[in-house]
Amino acid sequence: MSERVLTQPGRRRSSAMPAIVRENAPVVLGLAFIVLFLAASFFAPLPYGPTTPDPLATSQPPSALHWFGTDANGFDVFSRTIAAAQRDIPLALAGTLASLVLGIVFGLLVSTKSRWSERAIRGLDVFQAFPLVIIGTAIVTLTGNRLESVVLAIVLLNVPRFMRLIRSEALALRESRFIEAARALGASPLRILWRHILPNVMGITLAQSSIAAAHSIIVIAALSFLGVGVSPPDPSWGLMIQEGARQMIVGDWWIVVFPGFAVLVTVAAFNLVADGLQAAADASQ
Amino acid sequence: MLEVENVTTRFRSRRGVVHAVNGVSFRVGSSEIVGIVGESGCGKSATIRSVLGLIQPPGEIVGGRAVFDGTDLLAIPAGALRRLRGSEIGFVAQNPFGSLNPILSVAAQFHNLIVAHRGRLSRKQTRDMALQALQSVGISGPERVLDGYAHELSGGMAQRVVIGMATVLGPRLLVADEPTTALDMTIQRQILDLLQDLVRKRERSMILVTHDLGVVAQYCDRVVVMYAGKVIETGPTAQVFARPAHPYTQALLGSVPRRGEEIGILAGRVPSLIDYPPGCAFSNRCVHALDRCARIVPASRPVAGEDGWNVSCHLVSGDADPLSREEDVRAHRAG
Amino acid sequence: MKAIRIIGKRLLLIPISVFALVTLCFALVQIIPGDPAITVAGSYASPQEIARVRTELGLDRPWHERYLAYVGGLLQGDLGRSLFTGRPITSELARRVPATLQLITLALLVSWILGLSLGVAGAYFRGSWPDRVTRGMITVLQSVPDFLLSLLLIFVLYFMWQLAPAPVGQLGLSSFTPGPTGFLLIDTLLRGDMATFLQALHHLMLPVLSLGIVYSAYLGRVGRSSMTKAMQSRQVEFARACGLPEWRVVQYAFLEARAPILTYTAILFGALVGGASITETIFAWQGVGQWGLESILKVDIPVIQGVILVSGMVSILVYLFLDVLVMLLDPRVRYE
Repeated sequence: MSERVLTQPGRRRSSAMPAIVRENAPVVLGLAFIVLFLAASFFAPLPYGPTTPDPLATSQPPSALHWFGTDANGFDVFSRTIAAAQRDIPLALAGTLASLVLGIVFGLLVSTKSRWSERAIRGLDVFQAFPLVIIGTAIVTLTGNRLESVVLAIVLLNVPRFMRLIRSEALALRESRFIEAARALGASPLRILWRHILPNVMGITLAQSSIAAAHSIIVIAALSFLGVGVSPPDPSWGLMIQEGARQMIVGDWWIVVFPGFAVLVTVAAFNLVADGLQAAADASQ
Repeated sequence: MLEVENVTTRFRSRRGVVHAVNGVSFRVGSSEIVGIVGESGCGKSATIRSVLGLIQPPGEIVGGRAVFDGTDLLAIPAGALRRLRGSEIGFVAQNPFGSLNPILSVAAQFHNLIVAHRGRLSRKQTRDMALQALQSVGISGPERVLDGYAHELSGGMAQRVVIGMATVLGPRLLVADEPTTALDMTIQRQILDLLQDLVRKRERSMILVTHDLGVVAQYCDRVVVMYAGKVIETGPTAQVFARPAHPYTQALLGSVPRRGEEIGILAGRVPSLIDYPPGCAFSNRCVHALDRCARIVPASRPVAGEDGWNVSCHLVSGDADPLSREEDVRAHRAG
Repeated sequence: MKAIRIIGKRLLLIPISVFALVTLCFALVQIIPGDPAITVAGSYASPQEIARVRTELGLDRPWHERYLAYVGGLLQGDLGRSLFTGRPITSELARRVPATLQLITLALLVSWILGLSLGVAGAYFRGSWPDRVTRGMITVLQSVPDFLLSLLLIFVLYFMWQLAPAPVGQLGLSSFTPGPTGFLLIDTLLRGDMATFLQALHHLMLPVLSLGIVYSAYLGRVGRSSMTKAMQSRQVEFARACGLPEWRVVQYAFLEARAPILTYTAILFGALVGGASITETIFAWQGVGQWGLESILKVDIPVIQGVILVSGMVSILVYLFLDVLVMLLDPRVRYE
């Protein structure tokens, strides 16, 4: 009996993670797409320079020459759509990673049933009442329109969600038998957090990370759509969509549709990964 | 009144197909209380849910018949079966709190139930019917209960309300799925007495699902013993309890703790309902198992020429007295 | 009574939230690196101009003095003036808040209908093909940025099919002056101006659809998960066992599932006050969010503060309202 109590689900599950990924088709599919897209943006030979316009070929519809057409300045939409991944995807991943690390640290810190941690969560509730899009835009603009500010905005939007998730999962775990057993054996609170609780919230946290990455792609696109955090003529999906927005009314759909489709597919890929990881985490519970 | 024949139900799951109900047959005569008994997970609940058409995906009924007053419940359209449920067949579930809607008042739930079967009636009319039903299940102050909500009731009261709802339209068959498991010991008896009363006085029939053999002995005319999704023995309660034919029934009866007696412990585990064994499902735990038990599924055979007493076991030959079988087994072992 | 006590507790939270909100708005000036006055006035501004901005923002005074002055102004309903137009922010907000509220209320209505249909259908047909289809639709909808959908809808419904008017604001060219409520749909009805009412509806079509469709993904997800849980509950099985028709069974499940859906609606509503800003910009809606964005790009600090304050207040109030509503609808809380 005592052996059963002391078995750590955490150990078992963390070693089972790769198997879960291997078996999980959506996760593999989504990740493969993101990696391929990223690789293509860095290494694939592009038909035209993404930052060199052709003034003789402006606002051309898609053709054999320009697969996705050209925009009002004569930029090749295909080259720019691919090249934009170079900036947008790593930025989203950086923001997600930073949110993940901070979210885990703060989330575990408030994952006690004490009075002050309840208050911290209440504070987060209040925070949720703020118009985050506007605050995010304000932060990026007022701190000088740099890429780091975009990461900061993403962190600001995502950390509360991570904290909330990790707290609720960890609180449930704390009640469980094996944590009680570890505590009875004299494990320090920090050790319990690190060795017992963290491994067990990892699965669901990874799923949330993928959702956060998807969300970050949209936030980055929204910010650069507003001209925030970008430096033209460097390509970015949001910026491209913004440049095409005026053309949409006169029917030049391709300038918006192709980068828009890139956003959509990338976000869907991250969501696919999230769904798969979520299902895996649910199944192992 | 109800004749269940060869009902088979499966559930698809991540790990494979779960064979929850495997060719279950039994019958319920009019004015008869039939107990379905077995360990948890043996398919009792899945069986009655199959009969009532309450199996939801990923569950699926793959075969069999359940003839109730001449209509096969498994063959008629879902709408027709729905109209029978609640009006002709009442259902009492395990957890009375869970059974009632937490948001609607008791009166509203009675109203919805009655108009679903009897068409447009006024709130006043349905209220009168509900009052009568609550009085008949022994609730004093039914007016207050009607205007209240599920969470305001005690466990016993809630189960009485549920029984009231199950019987308000005067069904001829009552199906009770472990109606007292969630209740205090003292209230269990009251509820069972009430159910018995409602059935006997009005010449109704009842299926009582339970894992408590004492309940079966006290309240049921006939018993259906289930193991791993199959009926392994069925017959009149008195006979089955006096001379159980199936080794599993014997073990089960042996495990009813009596004062000063050890609980009989069965070695081994119930077989997985996913990798279903080819022969008798009980063979791996059976102390008398023969070679063919693990290979060939035993057919259901009458015991000792008794009408309505059937057992599925290779050790029991149709005409032999079940007690003499013990000697057969001993002889077999010796030889 | 317990309900009153809980509502009281929630009401107590309001001052705390408002205090946090006000402080954050005030702190906004503080996060600007370097000299805020230069950032606001622009790098090409003359020293006199910079000095003017500095006095206007009160940067020549210590921060606690400024904070007190700011809070004091707020208490008198004075949100300050725009640095660019010089007009009082309060009167500008009075015009813009109704425009935004009207837009997001209708958008949420669309999200409710669309999202909950998807969510409930998914939960009801769990495990079979409608479940997979609705789940796929929700995932796709969740992946579409609202501004992209706005542009696509403009292309299809305005440019190609001419079903919708051009994205030129709430009415386009019209001599109608809003009043007394500021909500165009209500004002036109009050004054019996059906032509303008229909025109307003027509102009609402595209932005409402884009926001409604995008945000239906969130309601679809929440609806799906809470309905799935409710559909598997014992009370739903008992309702079926009682022979209730399927629509009634779904209703019973929904009664149990609605609390998280309502709570989530409140959160969405709050998020949309600012979150509709890009859509507002695309459709030249002249709402709160659009104003906020424009002011951010112009570093019009008092306006940014005003917009954040107002949208924060709206979400706090809506959240409180729906929170209390959820409790009042639940007899378990109401009667204890």
